[in-house]
Amino acid sequence: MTKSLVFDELRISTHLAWRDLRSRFAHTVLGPWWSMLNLAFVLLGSSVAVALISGTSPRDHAPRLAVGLAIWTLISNCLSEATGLFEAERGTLLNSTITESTVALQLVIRNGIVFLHNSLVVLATFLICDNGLPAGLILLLPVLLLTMTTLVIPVILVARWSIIISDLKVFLPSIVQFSFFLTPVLWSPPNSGLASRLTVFNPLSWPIEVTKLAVFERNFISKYFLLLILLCVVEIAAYFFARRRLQSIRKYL
Amino acid sequence: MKSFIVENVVYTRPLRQKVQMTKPFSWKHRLEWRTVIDQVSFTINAGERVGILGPNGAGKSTLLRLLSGIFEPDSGTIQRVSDCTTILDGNFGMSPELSGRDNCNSRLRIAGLSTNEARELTAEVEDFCGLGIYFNQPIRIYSSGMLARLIFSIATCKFHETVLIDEGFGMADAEFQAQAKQRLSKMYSASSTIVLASHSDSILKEHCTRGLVMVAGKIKFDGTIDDAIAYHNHG
Repeated sequence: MTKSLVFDELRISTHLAWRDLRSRFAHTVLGPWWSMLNLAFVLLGSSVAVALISGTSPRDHAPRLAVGLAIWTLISNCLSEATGLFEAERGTLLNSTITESTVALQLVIRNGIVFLHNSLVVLATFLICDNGLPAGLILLLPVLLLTMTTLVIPVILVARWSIIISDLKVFLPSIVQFSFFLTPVLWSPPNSGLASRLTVFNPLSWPIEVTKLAVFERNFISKYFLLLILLCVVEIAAYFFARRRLQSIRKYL
Repeated sequence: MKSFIVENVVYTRPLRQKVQMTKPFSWKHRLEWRTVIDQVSFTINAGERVGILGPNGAGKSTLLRLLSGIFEPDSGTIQRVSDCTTILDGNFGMSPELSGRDNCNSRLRIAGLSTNEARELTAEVEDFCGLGIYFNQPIRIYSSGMLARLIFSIATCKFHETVLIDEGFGMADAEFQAQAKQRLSKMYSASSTIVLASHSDSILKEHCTRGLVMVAGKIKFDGTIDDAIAYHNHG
């Protein structure tokens, strides 16, 4: 793939992402800022719930929950929305020559834009509950880029399989919801034991742990950071290797 | 000079089968591959106006998508010499919640135009389609005729050497059909190649000089448009 092709793909994906975002929030007063309010309400509710269970103040948990929920929203939205992606973009795919990876990239970029809106909730939470912004928060941006890159291939695969195997479309959102409880969003992993192993072997937890370790423990190059980079490289290499053997998804639309 | 050289093109697509509860995880049993375009070969010269006829399911729309490069053939080759624009279905990949203006802009950006070029051409599309205040309204409220006006205007706002049309502007009212014919006539005089799939004999006779009759994915007849219509109607 030449440099200009990659640039074109990025340009069209970004355009489609904005178009989709405008379409989703068309005629609303707040536009994409509604997603920020959604996160704020979920954060408020879960901070109170965790505080009630642990008998502490909601302010103690809110910053950790904010980081976890913002990244989890990005990951879970990408995977859940991927199940209906190619059907939703059927018209575009059957009326233009854009590739399926452009469509997948569009979904990831759109959720990346939503993440940037949601980041304001994270910043506000730190300002209110932590009396300042820790230096590690700057890592949200590279983690966002790395997570988005890592998500593109799973989005393509989930979107493809959902077209071919209709059961996945119904089943996968339940799996994503179930994974929420196995991923350290509401809880922090201990140093050993089952929960620790669960975190290491669950790729969904890696971006969350990378950010939490950087922000709260000033550990910038954690094992999760290296695992995330490794996953990204392996995914891209495997996709480019297998791509020629895959049938065009347009056949199934 | 040739616009398209199509050689031994085969295109298959899957048909879904009923899920067998005895083999719920055997995904291969759920799909049956069917040949939609079967060993098709022909050439289209630059400036030719070709009509494609055939019953529903004959493969006309699939052939247009193969010619435009949206579908890739399973085997065989398609050489495209010229750039082309397509008017393939009533949806055109547009977003129902967005206005005609936004959808127009988006289609032009997807086609590779820069922001400024897309903005300029959108103004031209607004003039040509004659939708008035509706151009700034969400297209979900458009009638099929209004949508046909918008799609035709977007697809032909920029000069292309080849135009591929599937039924196209039949839904639009008489006034716009006259406008559309005028624009197509300009394209004929600039020696654009037109490939038009339609069930309407009058549209085909008016716009085409050559006819291809397709039956079950094969080309059964290739000749003048009058002979092709006669072959199609009377076998």
